[in-house]
Amino acid sequence: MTAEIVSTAIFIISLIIIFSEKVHRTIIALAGAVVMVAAGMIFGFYNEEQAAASIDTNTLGLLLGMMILVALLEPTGFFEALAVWVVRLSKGNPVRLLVMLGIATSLLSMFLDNVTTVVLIAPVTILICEILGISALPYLLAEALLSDTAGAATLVGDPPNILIASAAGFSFIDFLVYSFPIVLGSWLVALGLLYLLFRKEFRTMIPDTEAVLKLNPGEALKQPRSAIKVLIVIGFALLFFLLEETLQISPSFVALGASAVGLLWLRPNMTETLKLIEWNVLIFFGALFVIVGGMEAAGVLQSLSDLIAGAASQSTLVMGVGLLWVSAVLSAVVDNVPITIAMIPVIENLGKTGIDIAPLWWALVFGAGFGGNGTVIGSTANIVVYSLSERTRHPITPMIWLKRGTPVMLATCFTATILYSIYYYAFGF
Amino acid sequence: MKDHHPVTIGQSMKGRVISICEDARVIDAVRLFLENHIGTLPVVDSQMKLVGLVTMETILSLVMPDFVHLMDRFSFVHDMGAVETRTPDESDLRRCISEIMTAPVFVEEGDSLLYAAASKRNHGLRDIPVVDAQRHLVGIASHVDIGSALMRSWKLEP
Repeated sequence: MTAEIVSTAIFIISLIIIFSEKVHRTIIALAGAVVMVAAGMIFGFYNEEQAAASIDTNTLGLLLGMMILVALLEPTGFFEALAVWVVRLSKGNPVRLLVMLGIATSLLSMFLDNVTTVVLIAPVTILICEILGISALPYLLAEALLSDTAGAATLVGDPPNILIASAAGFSFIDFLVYSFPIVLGSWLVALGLLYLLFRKEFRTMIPDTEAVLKLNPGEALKQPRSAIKVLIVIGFALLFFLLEETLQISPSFVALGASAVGLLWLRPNMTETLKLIEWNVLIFFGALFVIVGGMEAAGVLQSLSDLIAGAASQSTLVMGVGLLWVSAVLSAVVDNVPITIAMIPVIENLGKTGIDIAPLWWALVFGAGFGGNGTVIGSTANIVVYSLSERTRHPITPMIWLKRGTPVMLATCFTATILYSIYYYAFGF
Repeated sequence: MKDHHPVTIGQSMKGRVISICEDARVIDAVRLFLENHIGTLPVVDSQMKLVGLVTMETILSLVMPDFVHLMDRFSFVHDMGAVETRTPDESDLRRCISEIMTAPVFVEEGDSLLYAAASKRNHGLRDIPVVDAQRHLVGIASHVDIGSALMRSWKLEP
């Protein structure tokens, strides 16, 4: 019992300090991980070996691999060219720009990690908005929210999906069949709501379109040959993601393999390339795995499974909807990766009792995917956008997020609940 | 025989140096830059001790677009559009100079010219303040002052 209390306390205290934003989240996560291991050794529930084993190398490897691919693509100017092309299509109209940037960000985040997507799109969005003389805030917020939402549609779109797919044995195609339609419906609701929430701002914006229309996407694309090479490598990586089951390979192997091929083909300055990797995010994730691993070792997650199994007399649909909302609320408070890691053994334990857990996995996909939109620290993409905006004259505050981001999270979860229920009865999971 | 007594920075600096007091405001620095056509202002305390530096870059960062800090490359932007005509906020101009100044970089008057050139280069400065042993501001040397003094010592064949 002491182990359960101590490990839960370390987890919760770490989350509270992370949420308070007084100290950088990576420092807290690292400190929390060390305290968890130390407490584990003192109380005998966790040790260094278990801590090292709790780090999900598949997720970290996939993230690192995708980050390297993006680090190769970034200097080519591909993302600037894409954003410039999008803004020219929108003709500088604020609402049209929201829709076009939203679509571009969402398409990117379906194939790249949400974090990488916003890391690349947000700075150029700030550039476009400054040149237009309009506030970047609605667009930055929309990019984080829509990339989180769209990321749930594919296996590689978001780390929780990778974790769930590997635990449940779902393929890339399973995601296109079961997740994509529900995500599309929720995404449309999110975009509509973003327009409604910012309609006053859009009405008062007077964009200075002249300079923006002079931007040339061809000029923004600095190294077209390198861009084509990296896009070919990413294309092949996607193909291998689809063939993952047939070839019996992990997504992290595909991503790291693709990054190795990309590095060999382009042979960039390695020091400069590695500077573009978000080491911060990787360390944060690694440390969180160790913290959650401590809770698992202490038996907290088993107790949680038992608690849910007690309510297993409910129908799978009720349990699914419950899980969707519980994981969404939890993902809003803490990063959805540790929540997903914590939920996976809980669902697996439920499966052992004979419950059909397939609908529960999908509920977790939507809950973890959309729940992150709830607060500024709910997802890594949010944190990235938030940190970037802090370096501008008009930073996004946690309060702004609560007013504009949280309603979007609630609306997408509500839409997903309805579509999930319809899917459950009409087609079954 | 080589000359073992090279020219010092004290011999090549400008003795007349325009400085700003640490409790002055940003707007005062802007006026000094405009009136004197200079690019660096040493910040001093009431005893004329060097406590910081304000460069034209620091002041211009008040109107610099945010994307400039966030992006390595923006060479495809030839027209800054709406930000082209941005002016600093009233509140920024009223800020105390000590809030925006950078840490003091200096050389002592007895230091060699090449050391001064290297020090200035390492800190990415155009001008470097010169101080005495008690760190009182005694002069300033621009890259032209230092460069010309160094080049004068070179043997130039006709």
